[in-house]
Amino acid sequence: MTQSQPPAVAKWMLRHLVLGDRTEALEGDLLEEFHRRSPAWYWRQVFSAILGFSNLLRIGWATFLTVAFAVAWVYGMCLVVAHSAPSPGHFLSGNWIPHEEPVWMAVGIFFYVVVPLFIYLALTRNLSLRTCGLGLGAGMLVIVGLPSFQFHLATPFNHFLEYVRARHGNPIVWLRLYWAAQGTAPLIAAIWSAALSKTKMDNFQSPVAAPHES
Amino acid sequence: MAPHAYLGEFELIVLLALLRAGENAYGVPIARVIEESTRREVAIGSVYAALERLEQKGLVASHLGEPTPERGGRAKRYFRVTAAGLRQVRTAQKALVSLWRGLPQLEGAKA
Repeated sequence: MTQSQPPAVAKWMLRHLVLGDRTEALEGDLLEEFHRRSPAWYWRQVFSAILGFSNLLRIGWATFLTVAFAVAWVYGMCLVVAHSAPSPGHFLSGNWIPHEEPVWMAVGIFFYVVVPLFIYLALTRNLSLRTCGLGLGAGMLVIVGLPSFQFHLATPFNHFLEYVRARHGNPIVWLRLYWAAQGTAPLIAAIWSAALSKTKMDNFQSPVAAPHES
Repeated sequence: MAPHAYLGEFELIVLLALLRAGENAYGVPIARVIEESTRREVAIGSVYAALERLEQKGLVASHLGEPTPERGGRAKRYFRVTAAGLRQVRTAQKALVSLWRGLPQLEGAKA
């Protein structure tokens, strides 16, 4: 069944989420063409326009994906270790790892930065020596700089926790957010740097762009 | 020709479609020409994005038409290829033809 009017929500999204001064002409074109097309076609056109026109939204979406992946990975790893290590001798209990701090740190970096970075780059088809190198470099920089950052942040954060405790009671949510930010910061930095280096390379090397034909 | 005014594949397709669509070309006819030649659904938004890039490079010029009722009172944006755009298409054509010519892998192959 063909509708006489495009979906209202899609129209609203087109009007409000597409940046630039082409919206009016595009809206008219889509309306004109809609009479011989389907609502699904209209939706595809609107999503494509939003992704193609709105760089802000594109950056926002990429940011969301990066953070979501990092949080899912770090929390997933924590869950796996917590629930799959039934005995001290189990592989996931980590007892096989030598107890020296540098070794633990290296194992942590490997499982919390190197492996997820490789997986992310492979999934997004951005795996290369350059993206891996830049991503790992940025991740390591954050790991090295994090203790200093935490040291400077500790006092104001404790004041903030006192304030929350006095006004709203238990500040556990804020503490968890703080821990989550600490745990995921190196991985987020690694993925962002790798993605940024890929984008810069593309802009520099390849003017060929055929985006968003669906 | 500006040294950095490279043409991407899709930009070249849009320029050629614009030339084919002739005068009074706007988003819909340009997208139709592309769909007919590539046999793929094309996002009109992508066509506009490419046209804007081409306009910034000075290869395309545009003007707004009058609003019409069948378009919900929205005006059409008409496009035309500029002289620089035409030169750029010719340059791309020469480069591509010279690259295509004499390739044994493509001899006798179906398009």
